[in-house]
Amino acid sequence: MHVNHQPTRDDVLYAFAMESNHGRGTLERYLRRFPEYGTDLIHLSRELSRTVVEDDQPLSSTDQARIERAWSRYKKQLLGVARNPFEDLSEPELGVLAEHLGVPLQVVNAFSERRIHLDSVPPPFLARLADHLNCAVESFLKACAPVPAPLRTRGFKVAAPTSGARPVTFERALRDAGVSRAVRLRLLSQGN
Amino acid sequence: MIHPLRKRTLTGEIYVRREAIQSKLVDLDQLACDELVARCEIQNSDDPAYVPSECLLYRIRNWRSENSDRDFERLYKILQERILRVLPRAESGPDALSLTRECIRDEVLGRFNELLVEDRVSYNDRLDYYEIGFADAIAKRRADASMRIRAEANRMVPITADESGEIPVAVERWAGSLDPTNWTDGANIDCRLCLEAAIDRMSPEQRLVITMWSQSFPIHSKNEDETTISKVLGKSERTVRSIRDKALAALRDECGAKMENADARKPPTNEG
Repeated sequence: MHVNHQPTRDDVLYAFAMESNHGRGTLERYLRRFPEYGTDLIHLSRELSRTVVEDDQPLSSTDQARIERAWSRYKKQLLGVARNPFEDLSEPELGVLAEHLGVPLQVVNAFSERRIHLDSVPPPFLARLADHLNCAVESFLKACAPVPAPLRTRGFKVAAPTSGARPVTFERALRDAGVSRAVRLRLLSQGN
Repeated sequence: MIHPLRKRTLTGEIYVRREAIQSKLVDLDQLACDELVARCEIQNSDDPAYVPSECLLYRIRNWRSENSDRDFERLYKILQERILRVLPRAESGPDALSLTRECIRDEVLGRFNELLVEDRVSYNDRLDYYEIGFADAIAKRRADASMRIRAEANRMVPITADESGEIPVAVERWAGSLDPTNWTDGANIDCRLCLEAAIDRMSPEQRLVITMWSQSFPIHSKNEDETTISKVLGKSERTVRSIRDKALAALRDECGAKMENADARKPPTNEG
């Protein structure tokens, strides 16, 4: 087993759990490679082989209360927290998004990194962008309003230098990305 | 489009979902929300319309904001229920094992829900494990919880065969004659559950020895490369043998009747 980095205890235990076979051969392989986690691996192997009988009785009132508490906490903790919708997209998917919107990928990345003043974006463009991200415009505005630090790290070279980490207007972002004047006018005039 | 996983294996490759799950996700992607919820409510995993928990989790993680909040709530609660149904249920009565099991239920569910919340804010690749093998990932979570809770509870005095700590010769002979690979062969569910509950009550050392012994790890070996119980525990062969024999004797005391029934049901071996 070739390991590229020093895995944590969690990495090792989850990796063992995800193996298709948890028998002696696999356990022994892990015990040899990760002796420091020996007792944890053995304990886990026992759990993985435990007889699981699915409880088909109605939920107890204790369990029902557990679930209700969990749901309440989930709602409360997420109230006002908007997930960055770009988080769900891989790099190729971002490229497809840029193509649909008719803008360079650099502009999409600027939105993703919260570097565009959203009040400078024409509402129809915002609506199309939110639609492509499968979220409501309000959620998008909450999630992608500029913050000090960028949330995404790009893994590829950009076509033109950005104007820096500070938020810019939509028009400036288009200009920095090399969008022609004619296309800029068309994009900016949407909704007027 | 079904989003790929992002978690990497120990060797650096991106994990992929099991084929059956990936295929099911593609099918489910076509379903309307109300139809999806109805199928997720099916509890019988043998039903062809059953939605595996891996797929249920994927849909929760990739829930679209324009979909109904009520549908999301329903899916969320179904997943919670499924987790609780596979965790050992506390028996009635305040014995230590029941209390431990209650704590395990709380901790496993709580920790899983923390991951869900974290993932909602920013992709948490640890949840990917649950999309690969939900039951196995929960088993890992259960193992963590039980180790922590038992360590904190400073486990009860290990069960022993008798107060003197000596093992009757007959029991020692019996323990040595057991074939660990099939010591529960033919055993029914009651027998297995009895044994597992009894092992749950053991000390960590006894539990470790029994687990390794049941997987045919040798107690000791002249071959230095071989993984042995002595090596993993850092104890002498004699000590490990004593731990094993005491644990097996105690298991026999606790589950003896059930195990004898299991022995009686074993088919005769063809020797000679």
